[in-house]
Amino acid sequence: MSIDNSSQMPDLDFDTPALQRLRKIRKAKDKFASAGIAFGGISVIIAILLIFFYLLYEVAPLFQSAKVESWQDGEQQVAPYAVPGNGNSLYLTMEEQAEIGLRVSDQGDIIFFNTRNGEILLQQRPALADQFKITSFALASEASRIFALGFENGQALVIKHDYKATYPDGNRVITPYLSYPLGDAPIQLGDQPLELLAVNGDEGEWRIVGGNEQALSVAELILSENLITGEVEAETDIIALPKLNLAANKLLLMPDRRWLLIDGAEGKIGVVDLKARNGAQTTQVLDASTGEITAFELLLGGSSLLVADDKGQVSQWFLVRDENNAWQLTKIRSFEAGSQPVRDLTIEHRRKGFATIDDSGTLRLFNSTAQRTALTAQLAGENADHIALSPRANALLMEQDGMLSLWQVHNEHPEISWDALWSEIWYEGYQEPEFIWQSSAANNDFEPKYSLMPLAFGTLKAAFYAMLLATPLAICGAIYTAYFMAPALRRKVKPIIELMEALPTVILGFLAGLWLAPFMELHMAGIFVVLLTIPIGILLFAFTWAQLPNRIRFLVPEGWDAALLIPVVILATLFGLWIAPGIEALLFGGDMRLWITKDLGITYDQRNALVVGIAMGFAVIPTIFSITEDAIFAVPKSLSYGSLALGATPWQTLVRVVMPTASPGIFSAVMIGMGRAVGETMIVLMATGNTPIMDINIFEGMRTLAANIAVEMPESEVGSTHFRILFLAAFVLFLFTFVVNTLAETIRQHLRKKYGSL
Amino acid sequence: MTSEAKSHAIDISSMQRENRTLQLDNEIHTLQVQNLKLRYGDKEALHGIDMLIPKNRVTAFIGPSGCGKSTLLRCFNRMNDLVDGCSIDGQILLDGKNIFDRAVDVAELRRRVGMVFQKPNPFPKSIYENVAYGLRIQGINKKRVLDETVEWALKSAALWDEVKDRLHESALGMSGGQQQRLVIARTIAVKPEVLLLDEPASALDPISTLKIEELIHELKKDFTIVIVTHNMQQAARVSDYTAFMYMGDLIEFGVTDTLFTNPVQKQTEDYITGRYG
Repeated sequence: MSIDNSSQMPDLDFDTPALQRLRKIRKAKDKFASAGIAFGGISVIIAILLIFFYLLYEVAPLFQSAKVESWQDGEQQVAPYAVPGNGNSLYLTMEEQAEIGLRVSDQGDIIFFNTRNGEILLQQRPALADQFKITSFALASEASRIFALGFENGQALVIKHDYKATYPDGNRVITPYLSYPLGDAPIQLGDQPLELLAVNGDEGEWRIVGGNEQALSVAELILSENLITGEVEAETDIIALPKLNLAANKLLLMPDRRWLLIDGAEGKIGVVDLKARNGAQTTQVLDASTGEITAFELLLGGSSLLVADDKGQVSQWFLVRDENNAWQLTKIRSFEAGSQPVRDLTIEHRRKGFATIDDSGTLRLFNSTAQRTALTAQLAGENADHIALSPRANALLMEQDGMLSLWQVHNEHPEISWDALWSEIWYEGYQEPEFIWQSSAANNDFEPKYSLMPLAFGTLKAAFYAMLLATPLAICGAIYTAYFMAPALRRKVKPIIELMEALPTVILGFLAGLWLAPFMELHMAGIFVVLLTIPIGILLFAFTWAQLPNRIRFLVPEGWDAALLIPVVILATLFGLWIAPGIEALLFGGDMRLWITKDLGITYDQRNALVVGIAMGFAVIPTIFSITEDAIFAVPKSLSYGSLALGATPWQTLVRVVMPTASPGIFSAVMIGMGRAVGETMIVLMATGNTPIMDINIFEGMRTLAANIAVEMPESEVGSTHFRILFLAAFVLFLFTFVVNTLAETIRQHLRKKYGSL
Repeated sequence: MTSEAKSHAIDISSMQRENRTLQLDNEIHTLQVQNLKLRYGDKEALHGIDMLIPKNRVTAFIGPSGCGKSTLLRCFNRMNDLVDGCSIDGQILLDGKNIFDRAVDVAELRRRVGMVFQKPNPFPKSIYENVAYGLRIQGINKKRVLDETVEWALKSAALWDEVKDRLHESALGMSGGQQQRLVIARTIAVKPEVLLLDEPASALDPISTLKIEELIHELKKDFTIVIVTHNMQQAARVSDYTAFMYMGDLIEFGVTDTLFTNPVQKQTEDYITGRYG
């Protein structure tokens, strides 16, 4: 037989230059592709690392310790200079820019001076001081810049130091001046020398307490401005106080002008209620120290008392309401302040912080909320008499042996410590230590409360309720879809549920917050009745269906029976809502929401965890469903056939073979869903009410870490402690998802090794 | 029963000698197929099959691809129920009872009629748990009973010596031949009456195939075995009776020796002499 030419093996040459070139191109493409993929992968890792490091970079300053050094003006170091003016210092302070200092001497001189060199800028002396000796000094508060001088003739003068900034030739010039907020005339508090003096008040009302241990008087002033002359006129009312039962070194009047605190001898503190029903009376005498009190000051805001003694103990006190509704001055916390006697204590003007200097010349900076010693530095030898902090807390003035020195303080974020973030803190005005997040308030002297616990708790609570709803529904749905449903129906159901995932969460949050939350509040009973009627309806229908003759049952193709449930669910819902008012009237007195609040005593917020659970559950279901469904469907049919052929029922096969084999996938589905629920922002932002409370109650709202960042980032000052704490919250969120995902992946790999399918 | 006796080599010629004395009418019949028709949707795959499967014998189904032999095999334990759009007419009697009856518990039927598939499908569990699985789903959890049964089943499947030291390792680490014998061990552990083998050796190498064939020969003492095979030599080697199927019809059914040496039907002769298939 001859071979036909046409069927002869064609002459192929694979080594023609063209083909060789093609092979080279093919190889280059391959290399290019692998390089591209490697580049992409490494870029992703680098991007995540960059985010990680950026967050760290923003957070790190929170945990830096404070620093103090000699003041530098350019290259020039500021050298100590002689104290300007004469006499002993009663009071030292600085203005905003720390350029001008103020010294009040016991001679009555009020001296403004350049803090760099001690040059006197303005020296004034009240006329009264020429005739009478100054016997006492009282500071209203650093922030108000108002102080009072008490004279031996029983008069007191209230003075404010103030500053005006002008910009001639583009240079800032600060001009200091004095004013008399209660009028130029001194206030007569008695005829005895004012050995003790305290003053406090606000715009219109002032109280001055003065006198001596034997006799104290209170002057109540109500100010009014004369509309024609613009002069301030004071209406003064003098009341004598009952005799004190203890020796007194110093008085402090709290800003509410109700409580008078007395620094007594032998470490005692007295508390006098000036507004008690039966006239002023001493409510408490406490032992604050085993030695002598050396410093006695009000913290910023005036609600906390700081007591330092000659044993080196510093403690914070404030008034706490006891079970009898009476206010008790209570020791809140004490600070590590060494063992040397404290010589002076000065408070920060804008934060809940203070500084102390002790006999050995050691300066300490504290923050009261964080109970933290931000700095311990040996600044001077012995005999440091006075210290003063500038309003921005960036400069420190120290008087020692007749010399003044200026120091630069770097103490940006003293409010933060591990305890402040994660432990219960006893905040001012609270009955007991609590976890509180409150980053801002209407006034400037409030105590920022930066506990991340309520936020972390809220995040987990929202995720918990969402997962509680989503996990069983999604997994059971996925099992049914993958394992029991007819393929034709499955092909429709799966994409529809996956489509749910594409729904923007802002729409879900919007619906949850504006429709579901009010609806649920109105139809509380209906929701719970529906939760019962749906499963009962489904079970009833399933039972009835099983009893029907084959003739009818076989009308529905196998695996399509789920479709029959759609009308059942709709009917059960309508039926539930229809009978709910009757049930509500019967069991809950007509209003279940009221019943929950009144009879059960459970707080009910309109935007609560139940709403979030449903809305966020809705958002998480598609994720869990889709991955679980894929995992179950990917279990080889040969495995389930093998199990069925051994006499296992479909359910046994599902539970014992299919589910374990699919478990790595199901596990990652739940973890990815969890990650989504934890990081979800829009829904929780719109449907939780954003109240940072710690309560597992399903009817109360919460605030999550993510929502907190979204809410507060726009209003936080860049570089402030608040700003950095928000970054810290982001970092915590990042770490949380990172740890959960890593753990999940490890477990998944382990499961996969154990149950890896064929 | 002692397992040591099972592992010795088998003399194939003695198997064939034994076959000559066989007579279908003298057998006890475990399964009776009566006018069985099976449709996949509109397409009829089996057109009325009648046959008797003898007890404690190996019955082989041969025939070209798509002739319906696997479909028929799957009818015996109702695995066809799992196929969409499959409907069955006629009946199959197992010990005199119709397996398609409504009252029949399918899971129990499948325990009594075990099945081994073409591709080994061990579960992603340990060797021990694979064999114990069938017992556990029946609710047997006593360790002693499980231990004994697992050992017996593995010995019966000639696997014990190879795996006794790694019973608690994953079954997925075994070779293909070992996996298939494990699947057989798993199936016989629940003491079925009938063992259905759907091309059990087609995915295996020759040595594993031989082992499976020896195993089949040993197992027929205890079980009624039905095997589907593409391999006519295999059918000739292991079976007592052979059924030749073609296009959904049972063409010829008889003692293996007779069918291979002296077929009655021309189609059978054409097939076994390799004219088509």
